[in-house]
Amino acid sequence: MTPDHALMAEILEAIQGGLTLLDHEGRILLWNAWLVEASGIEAGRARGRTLNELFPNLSDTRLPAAIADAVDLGISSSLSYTLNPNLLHLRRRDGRDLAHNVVVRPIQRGGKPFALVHLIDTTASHDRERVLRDRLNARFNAVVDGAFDAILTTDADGRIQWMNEAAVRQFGHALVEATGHRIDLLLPGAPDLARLDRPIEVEGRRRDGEPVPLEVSAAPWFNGGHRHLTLILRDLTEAKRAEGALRAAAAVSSGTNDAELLAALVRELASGLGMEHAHIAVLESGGGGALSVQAVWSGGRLGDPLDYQTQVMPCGIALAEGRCVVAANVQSAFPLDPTLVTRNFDSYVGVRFLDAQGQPMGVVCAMDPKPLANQALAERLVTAFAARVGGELARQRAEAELRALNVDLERRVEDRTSALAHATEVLKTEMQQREAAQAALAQSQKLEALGQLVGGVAHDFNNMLAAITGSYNLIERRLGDPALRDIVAHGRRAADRAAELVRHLLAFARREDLSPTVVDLATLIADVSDLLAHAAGSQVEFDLEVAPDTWPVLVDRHRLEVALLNLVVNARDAMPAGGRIRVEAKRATSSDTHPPQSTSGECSIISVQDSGTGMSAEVLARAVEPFFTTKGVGKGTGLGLAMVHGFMEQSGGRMTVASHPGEGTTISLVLPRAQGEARQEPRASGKAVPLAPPNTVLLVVDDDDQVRPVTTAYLRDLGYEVLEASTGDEALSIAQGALRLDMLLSDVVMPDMDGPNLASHLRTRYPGLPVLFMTGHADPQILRGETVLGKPFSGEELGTKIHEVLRRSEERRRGALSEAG
Amino acid sequence: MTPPAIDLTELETDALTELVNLGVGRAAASLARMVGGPVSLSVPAVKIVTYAEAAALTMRGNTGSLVAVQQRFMGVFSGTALLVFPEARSLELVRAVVGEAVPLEDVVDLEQEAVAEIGNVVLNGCLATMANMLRQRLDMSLPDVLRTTDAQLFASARREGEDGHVLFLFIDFHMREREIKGYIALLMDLPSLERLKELIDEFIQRATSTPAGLG
Repeated sequence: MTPDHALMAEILEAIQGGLTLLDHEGRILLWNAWLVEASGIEAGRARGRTLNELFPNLSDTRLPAAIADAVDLGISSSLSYTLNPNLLHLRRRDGRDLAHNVVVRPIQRGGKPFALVHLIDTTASHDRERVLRDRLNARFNAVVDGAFDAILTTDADGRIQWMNEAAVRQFGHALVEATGHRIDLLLPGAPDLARLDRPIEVEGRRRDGEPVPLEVSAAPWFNGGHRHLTLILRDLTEAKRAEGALRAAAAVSSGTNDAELLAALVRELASGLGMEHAHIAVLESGGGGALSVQAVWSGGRLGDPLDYQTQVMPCGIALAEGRCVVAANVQSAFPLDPTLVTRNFDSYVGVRFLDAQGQPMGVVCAMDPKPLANQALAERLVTAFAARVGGELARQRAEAELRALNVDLERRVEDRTSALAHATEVLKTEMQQREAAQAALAQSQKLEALGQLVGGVAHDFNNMLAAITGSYNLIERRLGDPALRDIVAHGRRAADRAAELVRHLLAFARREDLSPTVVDLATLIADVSDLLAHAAGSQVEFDLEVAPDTWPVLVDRHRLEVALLNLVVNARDAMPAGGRIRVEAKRATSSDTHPPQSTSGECSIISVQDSGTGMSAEVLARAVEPFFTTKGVGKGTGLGLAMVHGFMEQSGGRMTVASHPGEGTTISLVLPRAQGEARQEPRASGKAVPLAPPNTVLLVVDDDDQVRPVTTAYLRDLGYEVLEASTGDEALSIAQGALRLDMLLSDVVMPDMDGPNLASHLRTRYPGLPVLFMTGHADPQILRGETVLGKPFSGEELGTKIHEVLRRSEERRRGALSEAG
Repeated sequence: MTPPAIDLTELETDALTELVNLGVGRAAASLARMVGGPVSLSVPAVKIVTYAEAAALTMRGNTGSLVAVQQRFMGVFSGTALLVFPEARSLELVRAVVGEAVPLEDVVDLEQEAVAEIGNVVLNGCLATMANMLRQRLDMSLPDVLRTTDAQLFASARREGEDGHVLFLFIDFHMREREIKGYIALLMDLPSLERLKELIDEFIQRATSTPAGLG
């Protein structure tokens, strides 16, 4: 059944949508209930009117034309809300505007044209779409507007369609300003971004013209058949600044001054991070955990170093744990740190660095009143700097150690060098000493050899001379004829002189045993003064000056007398035409002598001065040399000065010679002052030889068959009973057969047995037997403690000595007896 | 390619071109109102072509997607009318009409509606005027918007079997300093085309006959 008219009318009223029918003049024939509600215009009022009358604004819209087209041309028209907003004023039930699309259809009926206007509510779908869009937008906005990076979309031509908050901030353009402009506005000189397949670096330009380094990544997308481009721009300013700081830090030459280097590093760190404060602190040696700030950059300049305790500071944590990063509110994490409070720091990044052994060495840190903008970047940068600082300081330390080591090495080398030099010196000195010693040894060996030779010769000589002298003595005694006596005396004198010479030789060749005593020089000189005067001779004026305050000296009396005699004789011989000889004795200090002695001390000087020809420098140099003489052949032995010189040395003194040609010569004997007093010794000259005590038996032993008989005869003359033997054995057997024996007189050196041996043998039979050794040699070792008479000796000397020895022995015996008794 | 089974003489082509231009002129007036600024539409050329040729013509200079507004017309000659744009151009057209004031996102959202309306205005103007001048009445359907590729376009619009032809018109839009080029394709079967041809001839006769001939 087809719906009838009433039903149709019902349907019309029930339809959700506006329906109005217009006639060919546009008058409303139908106005459905939906329209009544939506427009607020009753159907009665609407009917018969045109839409223009009800809604005057319609004349500005397309609707009237569309209605006319439908009626006149049969054209259907569709008017969308999008392109035709606000056609009719319609409201929804909730009072909101009712968005509507309009469709106009032509209707023919009974040859008459009509226009049916259909209004469709699109509010809901608009709302839904809006909600959806809002939701999407919200999510989109949350992501995009919250994004740190600038995000833009452009159309296919590169015109900016939209950009996010970050982009607005980044470039300084408001959204409306930038929209529609090509992307060149923000990225001048960028290549074709639509073709980017990976991010590139582009220089962007802010509204104020400031350039900004950006990393651009582009992604095309399609919507509704249209191509768009999304650009994400990452601000590289910070990264580039950090990169620049790292490069500058690496470029800071290691060759610069160390303090400058650290200062440069903190400056680069602070500026690279864009933070107000950066410092490098080093752990102080010696424990305590205190950090000493080596370099600090604060508030745009190099700051003063400061010390602080690490426990309350974030640097302490960094040192202990390796790093400490507080992006914000650092004061609440470290409330006890005064620096954080006074400087109002909010963020802190600190990283420790290690020494070459991997031990914590210090901390590099940066602080700022603002929170950290990019924590990861800040941490990376500080870490990199810490590594550099650690490396630098380790290198500095190594260099310092190396320098110290070098200094030490140099010092050691120096020490070693000087030690070597010293050793070389010592070695040289030793060598010199050895050479001198060797020379001295050679010399003394020479001398010894010479001495032995001479001694050997002299010994024989002595014996021969003794025989000669002895014979002459005997002859002289038994001669009555004075003329013959003179001849004998002459011969004897010659023999005496020969004996003296031999004595001199012996004295020179082998050091004679000296018997030094403390001698008063004045007395000694007085004792020999007549001898000296006699020796000077009649041609010479002899002068003697002895100071009474001369020091006593320790010297062999006899030898000194002999030496003086020698000197005077020399002086006389130096003045063949006569002159003056002056003998002087005085006290002095060693510095007065010429040349001065090295050791200071008091001494006495005896000098013999002549007014002779003097010696030239060459002669003076050789004066002391043995066998050197300027006297002619037969005159002088050349041994005099040498002997005196040797004697002085042996006595602990010196002999000095001063002479100039034409000015005479002075020879000085210097002897050190002796401790003690001088003993007076009676001189044994001029006295008669005492005769022998009665019944005294002497045993004379001498292997020299020429000397022995002379000695024996002389002694018999003196009244002694003499037994004689030529060898030790013979002596022993004779002594065995003897009834008594009072004294032994023996030579020392004999072929079978030496004198001392014989003496000790005899002393077994005759204990305490007095012994007198006669010898041409002086051998202190064998003859110690015994009485010695040096050959050659005069008869007087022999006689005197024997008497002495016997007397002493007698005294001893008596003493022993009285003790025993 | 087989030549179209029916063809227009030069005189017929000129007459049809003039008719269409009159039609789009009217559409331009309507659009001008919507746009709020001067709009000029022009149809420089008219041609009857086969489907294949039509496809080739639309493909020329275009790759990819197309947007088409489709309306059916019924009357003394029937068929399907298409206003065709490259997809990239359609949004531009809408924006050109709508203006900058509407947020881009809204334009994108409601682009379909707007394109439909614009297509509706242009096709209505074109066809209805033509029909009027030819003293005929055409029923026009409401517009549909198709997004398709050029290859599919004529395949899906085909109604009349193998011997369907396309009355192909190039159309240029000038508005808001933009120039947008598209096409109008009237798809008709042979009988409809023949009837159209007859009507055009009548129109020519009327136009070129003595004033006494008009009546």
